[in-house]
Amino acid sequence: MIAASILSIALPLLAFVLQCVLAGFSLVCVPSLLTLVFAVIAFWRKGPVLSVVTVILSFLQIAMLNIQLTAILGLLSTVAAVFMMLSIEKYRDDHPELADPKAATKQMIIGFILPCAITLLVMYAYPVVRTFLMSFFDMPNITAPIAEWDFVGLGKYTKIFASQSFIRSIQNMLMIWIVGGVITLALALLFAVILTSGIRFKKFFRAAIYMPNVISAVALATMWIQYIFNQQYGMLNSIIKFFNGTPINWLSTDMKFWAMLGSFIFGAVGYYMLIFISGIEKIPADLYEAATIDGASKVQQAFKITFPLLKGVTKTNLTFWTINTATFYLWSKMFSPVDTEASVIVPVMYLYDTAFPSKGNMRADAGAAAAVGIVLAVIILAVYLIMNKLIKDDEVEL
Amino acid sequence: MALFKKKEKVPTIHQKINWKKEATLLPGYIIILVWLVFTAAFLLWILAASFSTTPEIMQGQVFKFETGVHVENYAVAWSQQNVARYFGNSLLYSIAGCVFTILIAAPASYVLSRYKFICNKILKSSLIIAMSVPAVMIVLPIYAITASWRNAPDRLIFTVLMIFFRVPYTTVFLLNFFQTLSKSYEEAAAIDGCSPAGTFWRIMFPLVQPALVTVTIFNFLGIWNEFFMALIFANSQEIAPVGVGLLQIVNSMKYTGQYGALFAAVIIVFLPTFLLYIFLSEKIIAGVTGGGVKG
Repeated sequence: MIAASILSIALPLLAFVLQCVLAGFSLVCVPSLLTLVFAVIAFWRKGPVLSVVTVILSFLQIAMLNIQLTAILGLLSTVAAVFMMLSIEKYRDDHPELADPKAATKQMIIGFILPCAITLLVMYAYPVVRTFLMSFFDMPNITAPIAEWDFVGLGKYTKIFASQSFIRSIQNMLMIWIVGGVITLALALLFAVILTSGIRFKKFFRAAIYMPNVISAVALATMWIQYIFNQQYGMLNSIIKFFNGTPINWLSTDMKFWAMLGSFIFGAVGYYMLIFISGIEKIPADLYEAATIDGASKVQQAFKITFPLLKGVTKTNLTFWTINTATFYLWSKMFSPVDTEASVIVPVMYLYDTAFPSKGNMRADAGAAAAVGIVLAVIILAVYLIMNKLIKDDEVEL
Repeated sequence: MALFKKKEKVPTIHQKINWKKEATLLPGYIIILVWLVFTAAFLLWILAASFSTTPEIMQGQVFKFETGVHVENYAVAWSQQNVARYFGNSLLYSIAGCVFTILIAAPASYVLSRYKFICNKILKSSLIIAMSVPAVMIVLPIYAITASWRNAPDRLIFTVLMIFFRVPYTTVFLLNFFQTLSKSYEEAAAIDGCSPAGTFWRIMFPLVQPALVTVTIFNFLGIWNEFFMALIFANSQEIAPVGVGLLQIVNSMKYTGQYGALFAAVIIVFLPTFLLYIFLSEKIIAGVTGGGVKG
């Protein structure tokens, strides 16, 4: 116990001193300093939670690669901290009088909830509020401190709605939402009905159709662009040539949007299918048995029983589809990888180009980018609320 | 393909085929099979192309292997086109991300689901809201914060972002599982003199292991396939994960023209999650429809 504790205090101390001497005090020194502080408190209070925190902090030191020696020290101190954690556990077991159940429970709750609460504040609460504020200000660059911000009221919103590319991106998004949504959800429902109709190899089929959702979408998009849509050797043009048709340039400005939408749908269908299947499987089997006895065909059963009872999952699917469309980015980027093309531009892409312009002569406009983010969030929220109003869950509780 | 064989054999052993029933289902079989044949054909073509030379690909003759099987495409992709580095980066982000996400989310989820304290309800609903906050709402301020950390290594920043990004989902996912555990475990542990925190790590945490595995798979897939955040926070050659790396390879294809190596890179990026899926598809599918929908 003593040896492990001394080591887990001494090693981060050494690392901290080394970092300060060799590289000067900076953010890189913070993990070793924190490790040091926590190791001392953990040793002093014999706190199990504190010792776990020490282990995590000392692990963080390893990532500080500015001086390789300190990374090695970090590794060693992680090992030492683990031993300290184990020995503190043992020490507490040997000294039951240390345990004060009420205080220990309180400590545990605070210790367990704190990292999660910090995550929420740092990663979500603060950024969302700041994005909201940013959308009403003009600022020289994204990183500018609030003192340099210039209040412009709704100026950024009028600016983006006056921008042709933004209007185009909204039009494209609507096209994806409506056309893509109808095709995707129809295909998903069709597959779901087929797979639950009692066919063989159901599990294999289901897994195979869902598969594109788990593989890297960048790899999937590359496969489509470099193979399926290729003009010379691509699959679609090979099929057209086989039937003596004239090959089509799928990636031309006119066709690009539909090529992108088609390949996106291929990847997306599986997910919505799974949600539909889970909805269908919740419908009691005796409804179908009764219908079969009454002489209803499979198609009739689908229209009279399955679809009306799928309202709830349809709502889930529509919500997910809306979020998916509003945050649509990857496929647009893959279909216009270097310069953004108007045919496939979507709001998130407009946001990215506004906040991080790739061309030197364009000024980054973080306020306008934030306004795009707010518009998207409002769209998602509005669709969600409307959906909740239109489709009530309680009607379909089964 | 191993999956296919396994699934195919099981029903034929146990039951006889009812041809009349199968006939009514024929249209269904045809639709599904068309979809699957398309998927299989295009995956097989990519696989074959990754073993072919550029001229062979251009002439559309990838299945003939007239000049032999060009395994060297993989070597070119792995070392010359930097896939090794991207792969290593992604592995680091995914593994570190999964481990730390669980270390933050599981304890929080445990106390949220089993203890009453102030802010419990508020925290739970904040987590659910955070789960549905789109990345575009948070990237700009986070960029502003991280840009001031000039001295912190970029890999660390991106890893931390990935961890934070997965915490709300993971915590919410685990809530139900901790809730279903019996109170008697904690009571028995308390009688034996185990501290509350010790009870969690030694008894409750191992008890939800199946849920931990499922959520870790989703976290792994999520981080491995992350693209938007990676493009903003990890887009330099040194620290890019596979998604951004592959985009860079595609963009440089105009100059290198090594299509065989491009397809090899695609296969390398595609394989890890695909293999994971082959072995764990049942668990993943159950997770999608079970845990994911409720938020």
